[in-house]
Order: sequence, then C-alpha cells, then structure tokens
Amino acid sequence: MNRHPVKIGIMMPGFASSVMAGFLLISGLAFSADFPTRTPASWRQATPHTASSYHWAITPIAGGGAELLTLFGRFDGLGQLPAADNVPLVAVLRDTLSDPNPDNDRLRYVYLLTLNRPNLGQRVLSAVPFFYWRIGDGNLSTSKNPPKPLLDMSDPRRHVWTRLGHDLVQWTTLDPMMMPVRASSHAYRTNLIDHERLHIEEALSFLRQAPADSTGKALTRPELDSVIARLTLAKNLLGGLMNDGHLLRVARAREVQRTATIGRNWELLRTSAERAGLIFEPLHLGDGASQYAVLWFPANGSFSAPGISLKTTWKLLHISNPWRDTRLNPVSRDASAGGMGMASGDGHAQQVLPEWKGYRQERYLDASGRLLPRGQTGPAKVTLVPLAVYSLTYPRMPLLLVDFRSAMHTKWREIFQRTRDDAITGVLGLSHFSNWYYYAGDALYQFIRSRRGTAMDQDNRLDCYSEFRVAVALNRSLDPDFRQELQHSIQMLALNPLEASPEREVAMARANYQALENAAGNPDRLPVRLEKDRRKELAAFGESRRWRLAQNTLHYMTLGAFTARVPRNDENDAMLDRDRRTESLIRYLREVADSGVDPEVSFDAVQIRNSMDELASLVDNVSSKRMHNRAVAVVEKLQSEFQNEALRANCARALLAMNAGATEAAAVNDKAPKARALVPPAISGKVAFEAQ
Amino acid sequence: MTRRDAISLMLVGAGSLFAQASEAESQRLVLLKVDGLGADLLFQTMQEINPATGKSWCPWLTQIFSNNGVIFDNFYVRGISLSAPSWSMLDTGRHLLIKGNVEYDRFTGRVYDYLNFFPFYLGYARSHEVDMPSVRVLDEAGVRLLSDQFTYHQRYQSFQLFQRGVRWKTLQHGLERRFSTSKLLSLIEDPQGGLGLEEGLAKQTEEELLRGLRNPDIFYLDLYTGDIDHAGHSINDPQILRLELQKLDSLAGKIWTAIQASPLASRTTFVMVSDHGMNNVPGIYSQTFSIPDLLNSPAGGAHHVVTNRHQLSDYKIAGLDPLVSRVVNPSTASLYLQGQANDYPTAWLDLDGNERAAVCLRNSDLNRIQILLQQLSRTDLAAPLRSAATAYFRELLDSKQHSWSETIRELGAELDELGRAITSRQAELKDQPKHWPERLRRQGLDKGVRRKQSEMNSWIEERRRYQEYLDHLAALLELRPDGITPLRVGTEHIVPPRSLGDHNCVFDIQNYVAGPGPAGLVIDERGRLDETKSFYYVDYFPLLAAQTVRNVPQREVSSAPIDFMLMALPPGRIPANFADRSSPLTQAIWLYGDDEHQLVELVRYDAGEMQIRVLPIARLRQSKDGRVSWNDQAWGPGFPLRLFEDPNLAVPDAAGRASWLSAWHSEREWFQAIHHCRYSNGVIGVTEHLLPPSQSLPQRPGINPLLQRLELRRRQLVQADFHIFATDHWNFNVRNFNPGGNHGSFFRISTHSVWMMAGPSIPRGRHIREPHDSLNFASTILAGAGKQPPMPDRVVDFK
Repeated sequence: MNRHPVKIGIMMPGFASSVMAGFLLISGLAFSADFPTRTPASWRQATPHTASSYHWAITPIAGGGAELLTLFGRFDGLGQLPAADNVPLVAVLRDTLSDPNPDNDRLRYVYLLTLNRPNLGQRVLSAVPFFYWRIGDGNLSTSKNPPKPLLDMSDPRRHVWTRLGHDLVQWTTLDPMMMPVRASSHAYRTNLIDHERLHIEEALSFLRQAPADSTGKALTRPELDSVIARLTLAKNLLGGLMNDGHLLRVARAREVQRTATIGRNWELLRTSAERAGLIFEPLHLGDGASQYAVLWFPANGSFSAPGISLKTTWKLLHISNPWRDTRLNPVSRDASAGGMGMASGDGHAQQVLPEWKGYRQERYLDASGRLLPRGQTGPAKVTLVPLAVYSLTYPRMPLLLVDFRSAMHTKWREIFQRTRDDAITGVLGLSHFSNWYYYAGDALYQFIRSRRGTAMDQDNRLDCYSEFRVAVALNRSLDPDFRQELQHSIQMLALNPLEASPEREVAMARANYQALENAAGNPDRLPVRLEKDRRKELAAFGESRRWRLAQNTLHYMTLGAFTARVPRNDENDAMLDRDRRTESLIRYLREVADSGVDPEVSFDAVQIRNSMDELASLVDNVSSKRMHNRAVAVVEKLQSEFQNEALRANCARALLAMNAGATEAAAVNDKAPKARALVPPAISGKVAFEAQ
Repeated sequence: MTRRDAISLMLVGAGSLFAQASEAESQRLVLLKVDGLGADLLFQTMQEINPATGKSWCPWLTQIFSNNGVIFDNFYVRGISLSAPSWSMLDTGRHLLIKGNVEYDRFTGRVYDYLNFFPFYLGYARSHEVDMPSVRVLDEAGVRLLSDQFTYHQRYQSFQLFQRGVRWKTLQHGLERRFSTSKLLSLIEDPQGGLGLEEGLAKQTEEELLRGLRNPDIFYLDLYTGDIDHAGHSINDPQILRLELQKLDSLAGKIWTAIQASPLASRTTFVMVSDHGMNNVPGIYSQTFSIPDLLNSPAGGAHHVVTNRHQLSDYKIAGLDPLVSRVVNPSTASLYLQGQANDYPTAWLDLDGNERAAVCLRNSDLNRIQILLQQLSRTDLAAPLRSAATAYFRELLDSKQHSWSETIRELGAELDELGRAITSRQAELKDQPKHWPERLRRQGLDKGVRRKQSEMNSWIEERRRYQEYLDHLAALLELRPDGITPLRVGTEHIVPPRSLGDHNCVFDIQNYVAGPGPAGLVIDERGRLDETKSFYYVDYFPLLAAQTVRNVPQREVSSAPIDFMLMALPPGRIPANFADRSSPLTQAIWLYGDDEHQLVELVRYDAGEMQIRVLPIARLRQSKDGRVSWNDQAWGPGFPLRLFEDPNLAVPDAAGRASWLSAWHSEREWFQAIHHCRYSNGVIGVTEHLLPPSQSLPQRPGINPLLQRLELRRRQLVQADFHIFATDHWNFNVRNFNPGGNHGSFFRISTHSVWMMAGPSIPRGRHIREPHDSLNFASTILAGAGKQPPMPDRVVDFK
C-alpha cells in the first residue's frame, strides 16, 4: 500500500527513456555488486549447538539520577568477535531520580546499538528512483557521538509531528515540482522510512527476548512491555499519539496476535508440507518458540498424491513444484510411484542429485519416518535439499523469505511491488486525495490477492525480513554452510541503499555502545540533555492536551527554537519526584477503581489505603489544578465503589485532605508566574522559555 | 442398602426437594456460561497467588464460589466434549439429540449447521427465522430449553448457540460503542488493534444483564462468553490464558455484586458452568490430520467429500462467505464419479470436529448400483458380462426391495401427515397480523407466530426433498434392465443425487464399495458376476488405524494421528451368550483401536438402572447376514480408552481389575471408577453419544404418531456411520487451525468442566467430590429454582 500521497505532477516523456537507461545501467552495476561469485557450499558435519541468552547491564549516568540499561546478547564464536562474547544490542535510559522507589522512575531514550549510520554515498543512492540494491556492507566509519535515540519514551508524539511535517513538505513543496524532484524525494523518503522501520523491528526482536524482573537489575515487565508497545506504535504514522494508559493493553494484544499467528502458520506450513510430500522442520534462530521453518526436499524419495489437487498448496508455499524440478528429481525417476522412498545404505549421497549444485544435508529418519534432529542417527538415512525458509510471524500465512532454487524469487516480488508504487507516486504523481478511486481499487485488489494467498503487505514483509536478517547474523547453532546460504539469500533481499549488512551492524554495536557510555559518563553530554528534558517534563506536568498541542506547534513553527521548560532550580528533582509519584498513584488507583465494585476483593486493601494516604499528602503540593482534580475524581470513584466501611472512611479522609489543599493551591495558582523568554546560549542556538 | 433402595431414596429425596421448592417462592437463576473453560485450568489459577496483590489470580471466583458457594470438583461432559451437543444437554437436561456441531440428513442432504450464526441473523432480519438452528431442532423434537421454564418477559438471554430471538438493540448499541470518537481515534493510532466489535457486543450484553438484574420481574438471566474457548484454541501460553481468566473473574465479580444489590438478592442463585474443557498444553501445538485428503485418495475411497466450510488451505474468497454451509471437495482420482462431485458427493464430514470427526458415507449398495448402472449403459459391454451384471443388479435390487418399500411406505405416510399438518398450519396462520402492536410484541406473541411460520416453511421444503428421494427409490425399484440392450446414458442419475441413502452397517464399512475393480466387471467360472473382483473395496477401520504422518517435529506427539473409531452395533445381532432374556441389550458399541485391540461395550437396563459391561476383543466382523462375531481377548494395555493400564482406575480390588472391567456395573459404579482416568468418563460417554434417538427422543403428548415417527426418522437420519477420535494433541480441523488446543474427545482435560453455584439457598464453602456429568446440571438447578426438573432422577442433592 502506498504510504506517501502526492499531487499530480508533470510527466516528461522525454525523460522516461533516460530514466530507463539509467535504471538499466545502475542495475548492471548493482547486479555485479550484489551478486558475488559463489562457490557451492561443501557439505560438512553438524557443529554443536550453542544457545544464546540475553541479559541486562547497568551503567549509571554521570551526576546520578539515571541509569543506562543495556541489553546484551551472548552469542558464542560470533564472527570477528572473540568466542562466547556479548554483543550490546539495545540500551534504555531509565530516569530514577537516584532513589530505589520505582514509582518515580521514567523511561526516556531507547537506543538501538546495532544502528549503522548511512554515509553520504548511501543517501545519494537512496534518492535514485527505482534503485533497489544495497551497495557494499554499509558505513565503515565509527562516530564518537552516540547513536540517535530510536525513540524518546517521554515524548513519543515528537516522532509523529516530525513525520507529519516531512509529509507536509513533500506534499506541498516537492510534489508540485518536476517529476525528477518528486520521484527522487519520494524514493529517498520511502527508503528512509523503511530504514527506520527495519531498525525498529530489529530492536523489537531483541526486546521480545529480553528478560524482565523487578529487582532493579533489568527492566520490569511493565517497563519492557511499554517500550515494546511504543516501538510497535512508532511504526504507525499516528501511533505516537496513543496515551500511556493504553500501552499495556496494546502490548498484550500484540503478543496474543503474534503468538496466535506463529502457531497458526506453523501448522499451516506443516500440513502443506505433509500434503506435498516435503519435510517440515522448525528453525530455531533464537530463544523461545521458533518463528521460522525450513522445507526440505527428500532427495532419494518419490511422491504422489492421487485424489488431491495441490494447486493451492504450491500457491501457499510460493515455490514451484520440486517434484517436477529435474535438478532435484531427474526425469528417469518414476515420480508417479506411490509412497515415500527412503535411502538405503551409504554411497547413495554422491549418486543422488547429480545436477543439484547447491547445499544439501545428510540426515536420518526414525522408524516411523520422522526427521531426527541434526546430529542424531536413525534407521534410515535421507539426503535433504533445502527448498525454502519461511517466517511464521507474517499475518495469515507463512511468508517465503528464501527460495533456495531461485535466488531472485523473493527479491523480484519486492522489486515489482516497489517499482509499481514508485511509478504511481513518484512518476505519475497520483494523489490519495484527488485520485482516491485508484487507491480504493488498489486496496480491493490487494485484499483479494491477500485472501487468495499472496503476501501483499509490504510493511509486514519488511518486519519479517528485519527480524530474520538479524536472527541469522547472530545465530551460531545452524550448520555453518547452511547459515552461509541463508546469509547469501538475505544479501539478495536487501533493497534499501541505506541499509548495512547485519554483520556490519553487529560489528558496529560495540563502538556505538562505547560512544553511548562515554556520553553517559560525560557531564556535558547525556546528563545535560536529561536535565533539559526533566525541566520540560516539569513544565508539562498536569497540563491539558490543548496546552501540549500549542507548545508542540510553537516548537515546530520556530524550528525547535521554542521549548517550554521550567527554569533551573535545586528543587526541580524533588518536584519531579512528587509529580511522578502523583501520576503513578493516580494511575494505580484508577486501575483499582476501573476494576468495578468492591475493588478490595481483587486488590490489597493495605496497598490501596497507603496509596490514598500518600496521594493525599502529595497532592497538597501539586501546582497543577488538573492533576489535583484528577486525584480527587479517582478517590471519589473509589469511595463509591468500596463496600468496606473502613476504606470508605479512608477515602473521605483523603478527600478532606485534598480539598483542604485545593483551597491553598487555588490561592497559589492565582499568583503563579507566567513563562517568559530566556536568552539562549549561543552554542545551542535554541530558545527556551522558562518560568522563573 | 441395595441399588434399588438407593435409587428409590434418591427419587424420594429429589421429589421432596422438588416439592419443597415448589412451595417456596421461585428462585431467580443467573447463569454465566463459559465456553471451553477447563476445570483444571480454572482451579489451578484460582489456587495460585498473584504476587502483586497477595490474592488469588481469580479473587472474585474464589470469593463467590470457593468461599461462599459450591464447587463440583469432578464435573464432566457426558458424551463428546463438543460445544453444540454439550450445550444442548446443559440447556435441556435431556439425553443427546444433537450429536455434532454440524449434522446432515442422509436422505435430503439438509445441513444442520449449529455453529453458524450468520444465516440465522439474516433469516431473522428477514423475519424468516426466530431461533438458532439448534433450538429449532429441539423444538421440533419437543424438548424444552432451561430458559423455556420461564415466561417470555421473565427471561433475559444473551447471544449464544441455543438462542431464542435476536435483540437488535443489543447489536446496535454494541456497534455504536465501537464507533465512538475515542474508539475511532484509537483505530487511527493503532490500526492493527481493530475496532473490537466483539468486545463492544460483550460489553453491551454485560450492561444489559446488570440492568436486568435490577428488574424484579426477570427470573432468568444468562450471559454466554466464548472468549476463553477462542483463546485456548489459538494459544497455549499460560500467562495469556490467565489474563483471559482474570477478565472472566472480573465479570463474575460485577455480576455477583449486581446480584447482591438487586431486589431479588435473597432469591437468586448464581451459577457458572462450562460446556467442556480444552486439551491445551503449554509448549505443544495441536496438529491437524486431514480426513478429507484421506477420503479423496483412492486408498480412502476416492470420495468427493462434503464439509461445511471451505478448507483454509484452499484460500478461496468464497471462504469468506458466512452463509456457506456446504462445500464439496472433489477428488481428482474419483474411480467412477469424475466430474460429478456436486451431484454425488459420497462422504460427508463434520469438519468442526476438533479431536473427533463424524463420518457419513454413502450407502455401499448405492455405490454398487451406480457402478452397475454405468457399466450397463456401456455399449461395448460383452454379452455374458452384461447378462451377469444384470442378474447381479436384479438380485441386489431384490435384496433392497423389502427395506426400500418399507421406507417408501412409512415415510410416504409420514409425508402425507406432514402435508395435512402444513395445510392446517397455513389455515392457522392465515389470519395472523402482519404488524404486531408493541404490547403483544413485548409478550413474544409475534415470535411465537413467526416460529410456526418458519417451521411450516421448513416442513414444505423438507416434504419436497424427502418426496424427491422416495421418487428416486421407487424408480430404482422399478428399474428392470433386460440384460440385452444397454441402458440409456444417464440412467445412473436415477440414483438419488446429494443423498447418502441408508446407513452403512459394520459389514458395509468393512467391505465398502468405493469403485469398480481394477479390471472392471469380471465374471467367474460359473458365468456369474465375481463380486470380489468386480468392485474395489475399502476396509475403513484398519485403513484409518494405520495412518501415520511424517511431519511430526514435536517429540511429544505420536506420529499416528488416529486413536480409535467408534460405531454402533445392532444389539440383536450380538452373540447370544452376551445377552440376557430378562435384560436384553439396549446398546452394543464397538471401539476399534487396531485388529487386535478392540472393545465391545454392552448396555442393558436392570430394574430400570443402566448397566454397562466392557469386553476386550479382537477382529470383530459382521457377516453379510448381519451376524456379529469376534475373538475374545484378555485385558492388557493398548485397548481403546486405555482402561486396564490406567493408574487412576479406581476399582475396589486393584488386583482384579481385569475381572472388574469385564463385569456388569451400574453407570454410577463406572463413573466412580474411571473419572480420574485419562479418558475420564469415556465408557459412559460412548453410550450417550451413540444412544439411539428412539431412546433419547421424548414422546410429545398430543402429537400425531406419524409426525412423532417422522421426527424420530429425522434424528436417525443425521446419525453418522462412525466416529473417529484423534490421538492426544491431534485434531481434524482443516478450516480454523487450532494450534493452541482442541476438544471433542473423552480425554479428561477435554471433558473436565466447570460447575459452580452460589446463593442464599446454596451451602457455603462446599466442594462436591462425587463425579457428576452434564445430565445432572439442568435438573438440579431447575429443581432448586422451584421448577419442574426434566429428569428428576438426575437432581443432585448437595444440601
């Protein structure tokens, strides 16, 4: 589905042939770049399986008050790194205010440490329309600066406004220009957005396997779920607008969907393999349930399925019938014989499949014909040729990722769809607004195709590809030659010039981590940014949506010069602590109140009582009338729900305390100073408005 | 105390209980019906502590039922653990009349699709339907629902399988919830989240129920939820399932609190019940074996197979059509029906079979007849062969003469009576108003009339289709080829299309004619048709038992997907030494594991009490003349239901379990001995599942005997030929893969269900450890509510 609406531009026929020529030239270059000479993989014995595991490491920020939690993955013998080394993958800044109370902790920045910043050459190539290749492995140079955060948990809306702003510029300024400008800007934007999405999914794939606990040494489960939810929502244009209160619901719903999808696709692929006489094997590339599967062709067997039409099965599998492939099933073999034959004895391996030059494995079957795990022997030997690898996380059907018999199969699918989309938006300039009928028809066409078994969703395909490429790069349990085959296939799938190879990304992770640690330890880097964001948080505490919208609008209209922050003050940390605890308590009590009548049945009464008392004491000092009102509202709701007299009395006391405080707060607020400008420091060039 | 005394005491107790209840004020019933909630999962979750709160993960259920009510620790589905049959028993308190999620009339091909809501909603909107198909079947059979014991304005019923009427307002408000500004904004922010239409409907139903509780005129309220069932089918992650249970717990809490605040709090009994459990084990995917594929293959008979939905792997747009109830899956290797899949599908399956499948095959003799007609229509058939085939054909028809003539005569009489009933109904409905005033609509009178209209329309269609079938039969009986001239091409279409004909007996299933022989018709040395060589036969049970699957990557799962088959035997044909003249056999059931491991289960009634005996046997065969014979076997491991080797078999003398198993025991004795076994109450369940309709169909007072007989015939015609049960962690779904888990078998994890009660008239903090099954449910709660229990002897006295 097209993501970028454009206005109709001016078509220049004379230019089209030039574009085509350029396309062919570049394709030729890219072909030679992207298709290194391959030697057939030699068959080797299986290597012992080593499991990977994830753990968190904590780095305190200079000046205290926050910590950097870095997720490491342990992958034995990883490429250029020493054996059994740990790779830093994702880092999350947790703002703790230097106390052990988790109620005032807030997550801030999420960094993907395997991020490889594209260089200038990559950016230039990404602006070339119809250029769908990755040249080389990516940027070689390392930077002393830490990578940009993938996500700011405390300001998820910024991402939305940024993207909308870029879209606005595209629609209003670039699209009305000449077709080359429109096409190249669209190509660049698409590649940039895909690049971002690729890395978001990469981060998600790591975080889904991350451990969680409440000891403080890792992210807690709710924290981890909220990061996962925010990253997931960041893939949607307006996802950043969702309130924090809904994050856990989103995280759970996604997890349920994903788990159900994996199970369903697993079974769909297995039954399809059974129908087609192939062998299905789950592919474990990480911890947890396998998200991938490989289909094998039993070389020394025969197959027939009389009575059943396999047309839809081959369609679902998206591969050509291997039983009719003479490389795998020479014509001399009688394919109409029933049953599945099995190899008998040694010496057949070399005679079987004389025309197949690709990878193969010698495996064993048990007495009932089931494939035994690699390394185990059994009564029957079989030579297996890999046909395809599938992702099981694609909605509604297994997604073909690798076709071992046709290196370009999946790539052509991607190229075809991208070319079509780029031609429609970049060249022809059809707009979602004025040419809505085209997009309506296209949506219907895509719906029908997808219901008929074609994987039409580009975004989900990209997500599957992103996960797969990293999983293969980090995995060491696969047979090395098989892994090499997979890596080669992943190379073929790389469409985006901005992309780096997964191996390069993994190699960059340490450098990025080091840069981030340096920034965390330097009082003038990360701590400064943190301090500014805290003051911004203080300024926004308890404000309405309208206020936030106004501030954001001003911020973007002034190109970042204006940001609403409270002035520097020694009391800021204490105020922040109070505000955050108030928010947390209100959220908790809201959850209790929303559970329905008699919440004391489901929740701990002592905890409820303590929370109300604490809230009543905190709310006294809260300057925001809105927060005060929210606190009062939630306690009033609780009072109406409780059946227990003691708890109702507790509510009454709390309300009394809060209402007494409200009177004072009203008097204080009337005298609250208005925000005024402060001369910005020359270095940053930004203007900050802070209340004195 | 003898058994007879115990029964008498129970009856008296139940009677007095009933009498007391009648005298007291009527009790209000509030039912929370939870589809697919396994007792093991629920009880375990109730016992575990949530570290965040220090309380149970299900604090409300613990508070309501565990601390203040009654929990039936050992409550089981009686029969197969499948939704439609199970809810039918729970909602009626009667023996099973509905035996699957979909049933087919063998003569007319009519599909009874009990799980498909859409045709019902559409029919209701067009004023053609009033009740769900399952309810219509029960109405035709004269079986009342539990809710029918309350008048129209005394009951509130939610959307469910056994639903009367549709409340459009509920649908409307439920949808409106989802189209609110906040929901639409949420959709924009998170498109993958969807609109959550089902959630909106559930919320609306919940609100209406809570509102209804405040109304002192409503004495019956129920709320049905299928969320746990859906979740359990898709996912086996314990944490996710626990979240679903927490939602259920919260719902129960809201209902209970509303009950306490209602004007009838002192007279309300709150009941939570589930229809079956779920074979859902963390870390193990439930795997599918495709029975349509097997039956499509020549080895399986090369059938054109009918299912009620498109197979998922077909990826058809037509699969989205919610009104589809009948799909033909043609065989590309059909031996004699190439290109005739739509007219002559010869195998009909209950596809929503989960862990079990019901198989209906066309009558083997009809296959034989059609093959012969095809051959006799050939112009190139040699004269001796034509003569032999004609003679054989005539003999075959002669053998059918008596039974078919009887069918034509009896069914014809029933259809004539049905015709009179139609005429009478038309006259009755002629003067009914087209538009009903609100006052009368609120009493449900309009629905009563629509019900009659719908029934009459169904009769008209049914009469036409049965008559069509009879016409075909009559034409067949009259067909007398002369043995010289070829029959006209197309004569084979005299065989009734889209019909299976009479049931197949054991002999037919063991010698099923699936097509012509490899060499076509063959004559023997005497010039007669060589029956053995002229036809291709399939012996189904060994074929099914021998099925293995190659792609079984899970080590915990067997590569043999089929556990055993189940089929009824004619009791009158069982060897005489097993029958007793004073207590003749009422049922004989065959369970087939493999040739050497089979069981025969015999049922009789002794002094009004059901008794069951189970015998290990081998190589059961039925001869052409109907006699059944077998080889006796000694008890050992490996027989269906795995009783002998089950460590949880609780027989009085563990050392003598073989002799105990082979002896006659009452239902109660069996129940107590086996309910903790792996196959739980399977011994009783098979008798229920194969109970002949003649024993389960109640006699309707005042109904014309011919119409009663027609109703019996309807129920008999939907009985399957045989049933297949899946091995653990296997299933037979081919539409909605349920990798998380399934049900339908007799495995305890699938049959162990939930029944809990609380209220002022219910003892507090009691656990009933005695095993009970779904036949106890409706009678017990109705008796407690001061209503007439459908089966007084099934009332549980737990006070």
